[in-house]
Amino acid sequence: MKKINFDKVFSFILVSLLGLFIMKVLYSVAGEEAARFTADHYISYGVDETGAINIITAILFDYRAFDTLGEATVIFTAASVVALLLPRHEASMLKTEFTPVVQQSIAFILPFLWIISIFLISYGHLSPGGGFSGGVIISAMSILIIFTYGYRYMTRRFNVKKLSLIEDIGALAFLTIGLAGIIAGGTFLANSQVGIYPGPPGELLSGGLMPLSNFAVAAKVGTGLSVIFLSLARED
Amino acid sequence: MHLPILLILIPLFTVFSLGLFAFFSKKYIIPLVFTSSLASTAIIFYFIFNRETRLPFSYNLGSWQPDLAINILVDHYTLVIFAAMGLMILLSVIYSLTEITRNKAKFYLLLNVLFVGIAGMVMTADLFNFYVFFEITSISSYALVAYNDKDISLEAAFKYLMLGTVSAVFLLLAIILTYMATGTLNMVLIPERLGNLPVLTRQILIAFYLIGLGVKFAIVPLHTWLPDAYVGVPITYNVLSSALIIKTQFFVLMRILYILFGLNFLQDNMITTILLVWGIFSMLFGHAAAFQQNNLKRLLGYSTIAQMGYVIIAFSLGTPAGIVAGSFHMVNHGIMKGAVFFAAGNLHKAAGSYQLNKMQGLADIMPKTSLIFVLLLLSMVGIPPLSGFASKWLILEAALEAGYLLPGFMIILGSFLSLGYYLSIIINIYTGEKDLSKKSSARAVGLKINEILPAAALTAVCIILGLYPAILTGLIDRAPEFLLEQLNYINIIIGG
Repeated sequence: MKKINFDKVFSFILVSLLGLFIMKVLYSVAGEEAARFTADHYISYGVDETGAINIITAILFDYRAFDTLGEATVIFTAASVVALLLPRHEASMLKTEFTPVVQQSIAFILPFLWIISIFLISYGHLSPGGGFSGGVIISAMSILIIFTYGYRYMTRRFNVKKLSLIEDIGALAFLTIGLAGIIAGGTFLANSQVGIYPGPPGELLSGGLMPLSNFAVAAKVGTGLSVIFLSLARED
Repeated sequence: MHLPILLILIPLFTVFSLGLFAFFSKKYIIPLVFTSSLASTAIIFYFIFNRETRLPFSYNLGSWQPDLAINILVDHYTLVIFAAMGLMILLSVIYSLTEITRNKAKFYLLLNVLFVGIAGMVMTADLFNFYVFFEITSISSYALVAYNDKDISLEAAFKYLMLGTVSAVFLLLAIILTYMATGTLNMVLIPERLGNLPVLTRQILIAFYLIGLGVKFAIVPLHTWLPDAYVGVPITYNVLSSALIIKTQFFVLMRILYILFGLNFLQDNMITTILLVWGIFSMLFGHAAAFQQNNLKRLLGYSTIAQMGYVIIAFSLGTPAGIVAGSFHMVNHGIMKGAVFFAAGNLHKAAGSYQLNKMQGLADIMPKTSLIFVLLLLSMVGIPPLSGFASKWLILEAALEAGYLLPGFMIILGSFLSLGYYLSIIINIYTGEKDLSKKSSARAVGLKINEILPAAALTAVCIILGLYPAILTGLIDRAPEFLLEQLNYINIIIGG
């Protein structure tokens, strides 16, 4: 007869209880009338107040820009930690030789990826996208380069130090954009609320400082994720 | 008036500039870090000295109306952590100047990220913003635990990372559910809306908050990362963890419980009682486990867990006296434990190890540091003229005043237990010198001024606080107003 594993039974009971409790909370909070206060405000007044027709970017870079600054700091810290800890411990990546077909087609794709990322960043306040998604595509480009042409090819152009430098500059740019709100007479990260020209909604130059913050965050996220990957994918 | 946000921006600016300086010119790293910590300390002391005129103070980010914006605020309860920050930020930077030898730029980067996280967690009045700063603090903590890059520190960092991530999931779950129920993340709008929920739902939310933050302030069954993490880290992290990080997590939990749910709800549903019993358990367990340690840092780690037990007991009394006593002990324990770690780091320079049996007879080599160390240990126990006595007396008085006789008895019992293991350390240091003089491992070391200063300064504070506890109680005596009275807190931001 098979022995019953009591640890597993105990864990199962605990997890089921946890699930029950979460279900209970979800059941009782569903359909609360008061529960749409903030969301309603964003939807009703978001475009008028911020000048951005993409509400998500309006929330990320205007209503809750301070959270975005914090999240970008988290990515920044993670990238620094990975770059700090990994070089000491040998990690290697299998070097794969691709055929010229792959190399040529990736070379063909890369400029398009660059255009897509710039489009996502600069139209972030108008259409789905923004600094974070654009930055992720930039980091995807560096991952593609590392995989296709090898680690050394990448580090000859951009090594961890240079990428970190761009990351720092992006972060400092975001801080400076935040300070512009103070200079304009408002509080930190103030944007459309202190008279910075919000522009006609729907135009490329609208949303106050939002396009600039998008570029700053994109530089930070793109290089940050590239640093993480570059530190992880060492080739010996 | 942009002072509170500067407390977050100055370290943040330092973090990002450090990368630039590390790239171009390394010699400006130390002056930059020193200036920024000096500036932060100056802001904190500005708030402490002008508390009657300037506080409570709120600041909304992005110039949005207060119910929509992320607010940060400084009130008299915030001063509790400010008091500890005012001393610890500068002293830990001073101590780290000689302790950190390799990769200085990265260390100070992580240290400043930690300061950003702590300042943000203490001041923010927005739940998700709090979570962001919680993550910032956590990630820099994991990194600092792993910083020494020895096997033991990497293992501890991995353990801490796993436990911390699970706890963060619970915290995020609690915040998401709170948002679903109330439709806002603003901590001043939630209390009113949360009141409509069924009692069981609110209890479950409290459980999630408690588990999410409990891991971080090492309440007993969730404490396992702490003693491991303390062994292989720089002293600077030991000090900051004991004096600031875990205190801040507990501080925020209390704010969430008392402001969001309200004292009446907590007392009606026995949550304060559960916390009280849990605090007693945490305290007794910490003391009992400290008895069995032979590594000084692990022992002090368990002692921190036990001392957090006292703080939990005091806060869960739910009376103004209890809050004042708990806050006093939070600050005071931070000062004492910080000083103990600084002194232990200095003793380590002579002994070459944190194993207690290798520290025998150290008093012969380092008489002054040993004297400071012994004074501090006695203060931790609560021997009368020192500050530990004042805080334990306040907690005891508050417990008896609230009618809790058994917890009062347990506090005395705990102090006797701690006397046991601290005495054994003292005996260890002051005896056995004959063996030591023959050993080659121990040697006389010249301590630099920046290594002596932090321990000596904190010991002086400890003695002064023991003689005149009114200095600190005068600073925090209005804290209960902003913790027990929800309306006071809410009015800072949206009231008139």
